[in-house]
Amino acid sequence: MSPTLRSRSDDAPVVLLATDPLGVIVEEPVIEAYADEPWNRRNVIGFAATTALAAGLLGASYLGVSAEVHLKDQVVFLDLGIAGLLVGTVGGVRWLAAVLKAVRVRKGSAVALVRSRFVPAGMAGPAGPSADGFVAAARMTRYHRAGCPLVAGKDVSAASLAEHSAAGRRPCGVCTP
Amino acid sequence: MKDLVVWVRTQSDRVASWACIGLGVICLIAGWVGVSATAFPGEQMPYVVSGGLVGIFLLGLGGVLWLSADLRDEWRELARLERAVLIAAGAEAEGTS
Repeated sequence: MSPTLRSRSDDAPVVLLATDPLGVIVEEPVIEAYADEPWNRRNVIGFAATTALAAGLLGASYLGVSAEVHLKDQVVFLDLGIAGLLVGTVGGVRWLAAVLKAVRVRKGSAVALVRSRFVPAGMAGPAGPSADGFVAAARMTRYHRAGCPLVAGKDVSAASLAEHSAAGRRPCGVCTP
Repeated sequence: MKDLVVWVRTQSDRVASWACIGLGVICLIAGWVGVSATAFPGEQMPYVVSGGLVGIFLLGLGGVLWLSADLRDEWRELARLERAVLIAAGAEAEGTS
């Protein structure tokens, strides 16, 4: 039976995932179903609303402060401006958190896709080094197994785990050396 | 000129980000100049709000838009990677069949 599509809109962006007939999310996503941007309409409306509210509070604060002469009468409007700044901060942080989460979800899905298409079953998962050790090129920030598709055709050299660690390299997320 | 228009259209959030950062810096400088021009706190306060608070707000907004643009670039890069993987996987499957 062909997989059906289910919308998962509880998080920030709406992401469509392939599900089996029982409705369980499978590991491989439907790539074409992703939106063009890492945010959805709800995120945009939320960010725009908080930004507009913050701007409104700052404007009201300025008008209020300008209309008063004595400092003690201006303090309440100054507080209004600070509240506007806080509202803007919250809106910005929420926006960035939602976008960051969407990118992380997609990154995980991309790694799963590469694993499912290219990495042989025996290669994935934690295991010791291959016979040639782990490989990397001089400017790489990650080390790989010799058979990893991400180093296929590249000029890499084998080294021990200690040498890669000393060079500041981290394990590849695809072949998981 | 056409390239610039295309760039502005595709990088609209980066353009907005720089605009916010530029305006924020101008607000902060104008606020500082205004506050410096008077010794009476009641006259300084409007400059504190319009220059200081609004300047900080615009700088923050610019930073958020810039980070957001970076994350969108990463999103597009992932899309390209996924397409490349699917194409390569399809070619590999054709080669083995």
